[in-house]
Amino acid sequence: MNRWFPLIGLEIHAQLNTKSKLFSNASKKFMATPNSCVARFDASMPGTLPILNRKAVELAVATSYALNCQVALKSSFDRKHYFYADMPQGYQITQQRAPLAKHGFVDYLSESSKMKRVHIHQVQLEQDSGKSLHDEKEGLSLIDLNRAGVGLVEIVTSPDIRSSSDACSFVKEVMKILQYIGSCTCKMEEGEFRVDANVSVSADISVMGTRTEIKNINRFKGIKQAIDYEITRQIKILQEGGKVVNETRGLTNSGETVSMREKESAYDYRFMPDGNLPYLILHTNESIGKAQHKNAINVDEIRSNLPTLPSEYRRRLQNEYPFEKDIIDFMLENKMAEYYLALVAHRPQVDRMLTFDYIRVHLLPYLERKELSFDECPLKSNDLGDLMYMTHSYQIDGSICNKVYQEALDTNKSPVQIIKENGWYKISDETMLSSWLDQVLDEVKQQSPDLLVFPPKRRKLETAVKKLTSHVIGRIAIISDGKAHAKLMRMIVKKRLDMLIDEQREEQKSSGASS
Amino acid sequence: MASNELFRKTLIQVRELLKHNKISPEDLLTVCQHRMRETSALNYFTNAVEKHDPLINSKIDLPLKGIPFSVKDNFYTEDMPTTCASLMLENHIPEFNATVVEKLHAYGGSMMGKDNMDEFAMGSGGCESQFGPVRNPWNHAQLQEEGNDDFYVAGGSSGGSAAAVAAGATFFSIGSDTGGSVRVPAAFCGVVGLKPTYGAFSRHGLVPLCNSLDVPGIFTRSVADSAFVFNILKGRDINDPTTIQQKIPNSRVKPEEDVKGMVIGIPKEHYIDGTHPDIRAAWDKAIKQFDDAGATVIEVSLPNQEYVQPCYRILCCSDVAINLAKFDEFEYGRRARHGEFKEELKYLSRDYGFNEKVKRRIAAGNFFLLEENKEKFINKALSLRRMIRGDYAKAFGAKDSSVSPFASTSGPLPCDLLLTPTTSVTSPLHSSFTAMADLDGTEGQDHKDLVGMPEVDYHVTGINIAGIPAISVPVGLSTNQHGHEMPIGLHLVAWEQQENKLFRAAKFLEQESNFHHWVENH
Repeated sequence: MNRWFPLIGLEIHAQLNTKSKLFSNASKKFMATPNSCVARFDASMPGTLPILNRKAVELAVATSYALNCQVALKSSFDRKHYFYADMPQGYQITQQRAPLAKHGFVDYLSESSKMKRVHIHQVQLEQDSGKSLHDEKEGLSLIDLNRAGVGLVEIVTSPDIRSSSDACSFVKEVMKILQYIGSCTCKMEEGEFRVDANVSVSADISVMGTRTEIKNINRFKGIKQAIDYEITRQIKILQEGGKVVNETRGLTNSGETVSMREKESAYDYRFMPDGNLPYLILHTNESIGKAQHKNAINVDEIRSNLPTLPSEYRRRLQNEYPFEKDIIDFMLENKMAEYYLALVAHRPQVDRMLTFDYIRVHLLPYLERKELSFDECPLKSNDLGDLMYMTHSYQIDGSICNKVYQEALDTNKSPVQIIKENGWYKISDETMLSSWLDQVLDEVKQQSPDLLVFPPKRRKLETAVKKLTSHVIGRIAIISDGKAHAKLMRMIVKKRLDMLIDEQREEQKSSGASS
Repeated sequence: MASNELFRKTLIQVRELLKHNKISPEDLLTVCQHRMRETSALNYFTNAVEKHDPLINSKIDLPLKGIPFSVKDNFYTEDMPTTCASLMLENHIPEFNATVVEKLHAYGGSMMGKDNMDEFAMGSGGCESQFGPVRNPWNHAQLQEEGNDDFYVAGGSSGGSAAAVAAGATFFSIGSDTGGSVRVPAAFCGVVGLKPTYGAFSRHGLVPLCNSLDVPGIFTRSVADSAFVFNILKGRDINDPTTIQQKIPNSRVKPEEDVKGMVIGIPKEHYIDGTHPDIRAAWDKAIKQFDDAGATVIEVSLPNQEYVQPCYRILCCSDVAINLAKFDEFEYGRRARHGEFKEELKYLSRDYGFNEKVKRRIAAGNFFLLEENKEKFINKALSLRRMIRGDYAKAFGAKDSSVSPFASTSGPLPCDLLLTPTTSVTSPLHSSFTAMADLDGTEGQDHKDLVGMPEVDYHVTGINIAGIPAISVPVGLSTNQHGHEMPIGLHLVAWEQQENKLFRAAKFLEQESNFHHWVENH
């Protein structure tokens, strides 16, 4: 039996996170009333012209740099012709001849925790299409142009991927990058992020087989399903001596791929430069002074203002503590890395896992409920760091920690201040705690020495220990005026009592042996 | 002043009269409306404006206050049909004004009507309109008196715009020029026609023919008028990304212009067979006038001139195929017929809605755009375009990054201007134009439209490909074989954004030729 080598390349379409469309001022809203977000240009009214959205260009440039691409200082727009009713101009404006950026790469961690690299062939700006809705019952075709003209970046990879799981890990990494730089929110369920997968298999690892393209995968699970289904299908065809047809396929809800347009291989987009759009000229620090346009874009400025990318956070988190991959992924996905790293930088003494858990269990759900990012969190990382530090170093009781946390969120006071005002500071000095314990045990010895005799005469050992413990702790609370750290005190008491019990047991053993 | 003399004035002259309260805006309106009725047989409007803006009575002093003008029917006019002289858009009423229309309104101008044109601006005679051909005012009355129903063509595609100004119905008009569509009718009708630098005027609201070549143009009765309207229309428009971003300086025309020290290039490729001897003589005379006035006249070469038409046809048809795709009666255009299927409906409506020439260009454009033809046609046309522009850059000694980063000249001196005839013939009779352009569709001859008509478009189309400005100035009359005197136009060309040089030399030609026969002969 032959071994088969799959080869996968992806085309990612990500809607740019702008207020208006790529070439018009119509707004861009998901689930708006059909045809309520349509400017004259989006409806291809004769005589209207495309006006390039500056913000969209900035986001696409940032995306390109985040994907380690070389950004072209001069790029141009082309028309790609389709005659569909949801493409009212009869063409899509895209960048075929001279795209915005080329030659990038993305490093991602595969499921087996290996670092792998996918090369980015090019990044281009283009328009989204409208939507056709077919009401088969009524025999009607309805058109919604709300999405027509929304700005996309298309990210085209080289065929570098060998498995569906690598494809998924790569896509996840890209999604994180786009979310980190804010160029796309990547909500697949709202159609903001869609993937086309080019899949081929070959018996010879150095040769590329005939590929098929699975278009418009719009759910994350679909990426794996489509690629796995397609690999199995193509292998079966080849094993039976057949030929794979170069075609466009679609993904059904049940996870199968089906042929979409038989003549796709012969489909002619008839690319042509768009005469309505001048070259897109970008500037550098050197050339910005000579720019003719007030709105000229400086790519150096965009590059130097790029936020920290997920790969960098991953590296820093790994250096910080030997977290498992899943935890790091979780932190990156939830954008808590920066907050977390700032916290531990401020209070390096905190327990790493306990702190992560506290954020995951308490703060993250709170932020999600309030729809806030970690940046906008009312409890600053330093403050939570102080609270974690005081808790983990027994300066306050564990039960008080949540109370302080809640009050800090509600009142905007710092945890330190809250603890001070309420006198919640505890004494955790072991010598002090031990001396209080000595004092109480002396008391007990004088008042009811029976309680310190083990094993007790009339009770079970556990019951006696429990009773004594609560008595001792109660007394210490009174003596210390409630300042003894409860958990620490309990630990010290337990240790002392265990010691007492052991001592007496030893004594009895030796006296028994001697008698 | 006798009001019947008013329509013979230029824009600048009537502005003076208005300024000194010698006449009122109502007088102008009345005169032009009267003139429109008198000359209605010329068929220069598709739709006339019935109601006029009360603004003309306001006290505010606006540069065009009360001045009647008209606009070619491919410019969007709010609440008024914009038909492109096509059945397809018979009832098309836009919801906004083109930027040039908006500006003229804002400056107080008074729109008289929408100018008749060749359907979707495809044509050079002004004859291919669903509203019938435009008639040239020159010798129209004489032909009628002679009992001859034939007429001289107005030129195209902005024929109505030229005829309206020549007939005295408006003081200026706006056309569009993609391959000569302003300058050819200006020459045929004996008026001044300006095609500015690509991007000097906004195309927003102009129904496109070829997006990278289209530019609005101006028809006036004098060079000074042309400069006056140019100053109003020029400038950046946020709705058109191809408008020039830098500030364009105002152009001024002195009452007397001299051309001393200017370098005038005569491109040798423009001496062609079939040029009417009177036109050749007018050109030679102008050369001498420049020379006598202290300009340096030199010969220059535009070696790629012979590729202008193929390049133009390919670029234009390709854009036509795409730009007209939306007129399928589902998106835009009228539903003309009833069919059962979507494709059938589209076919029937497009077949009915477009004339033969439009259909032929759509078919040719779709052919040029095929992937298999990309190398053979589109890519060739795109490189020809750079070469043709390069020829002009060389002649003007211009630095042009799309050609070469260094300034270079073909001759010893960089030219300020080039001088050629506008057309090689004067306006022909409709009957002979029909035969020339093969509008009656002789068997085996039906590709005329795809190779162009050298008699009318040879000198003008390269200017659009280069994206540079040019002006056609009437300089004299030629008596044709029918014994009718028809106007001759000369063509001045400058490098981009040098309209001021064009106006200066055009004004010089105007004062030297003393051409003022335009109305008397009608």
